[in-house]
Amino acid sequence: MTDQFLYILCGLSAGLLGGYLGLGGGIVMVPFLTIIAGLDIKLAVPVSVTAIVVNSFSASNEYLKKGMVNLELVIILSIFMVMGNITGSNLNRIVPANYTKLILTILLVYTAFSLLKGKQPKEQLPFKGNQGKYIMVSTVLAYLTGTLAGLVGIGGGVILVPLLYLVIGMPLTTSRGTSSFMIGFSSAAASAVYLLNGMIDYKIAAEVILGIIIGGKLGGYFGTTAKPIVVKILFFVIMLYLAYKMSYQPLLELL
Amino acid sequence: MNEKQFKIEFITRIQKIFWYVAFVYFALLGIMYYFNFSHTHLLAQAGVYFILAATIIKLFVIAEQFHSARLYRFWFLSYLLMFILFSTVLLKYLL
Repeated sequence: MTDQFLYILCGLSAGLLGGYLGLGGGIVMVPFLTIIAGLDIKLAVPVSVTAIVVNSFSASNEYLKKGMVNLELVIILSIFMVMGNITGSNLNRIVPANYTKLILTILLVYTAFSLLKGKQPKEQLPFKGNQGKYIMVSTVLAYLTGTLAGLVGIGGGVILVPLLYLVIGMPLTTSRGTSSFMIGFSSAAASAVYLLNGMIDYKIAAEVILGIIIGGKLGGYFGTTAKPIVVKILFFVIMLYLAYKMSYQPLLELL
Repeated sequence: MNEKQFKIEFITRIQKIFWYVAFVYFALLGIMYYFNFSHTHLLAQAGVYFILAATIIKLFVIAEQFHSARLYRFWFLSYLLMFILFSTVLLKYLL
């Protein structure tokens, strides 16, 4: 298979999987690009964040139409998340690739377990009347999420959704919608930093973007259907395998 | 939020348009790369710039929607977010 089709396939599968599982796509795209396509992580991260911006156009639209995006909160938290993304993408140039891989491994394992376990509905605190208190906490967390997302090339949905759901007490569907809309702005900031530093490979980016555009749409379509436990277990195994492949070499070198 | 003044359709429509434009543009780029056309690299670079410009335009539309809804605090914050996004470019050339 030529490299071109491999990159398109990576984007397509990341978009499909991301859309189906309700993730941004970055958490699966970076491992796919590094493990399957054999790209260096320093090259995969800028491509991933750029593709996520495009994916956010379609991913957040359905939520917007259904009124499941809190735009006021998007603006407030995006300010901090964008600042975090700028920090993270600048850190990416300094942090050694092995450490970036290990951080991504931790996120992969966390995502795998949270997918399998599912989010338990719990008593939610009303957002109205508690804005001040919660926004204070979430702005700090949004900045940290942005830093992590910019560093490892993910959108940050895996951290943002639980943050909005558990810390602010927002309903789960609104948390997903708000998160998918915010990711567009924060990933754009990280992409701009990588672009200005000449770290984006345009050929690979164009092919991955084409893949994620198609995959994201398909994933969004299938994502509305219920996910059987067998599928969840399959994704759990895939995520853990990716985590193992991602961390094996860096751990050998570091230990 | 003043739902009557804030037209969410503007944002969904603009996102839909950007998605279609990006799809056609990157599909054409894929074909051009496949046949090794010259200057495809420059067009791909322009594609990445387009994505970032689309994000800024989207933010501008949101900001003006907040203005129409008389939510001036969020209107100001939207422009602040736009300024932060632009600051990445400013910092690169100023430092």
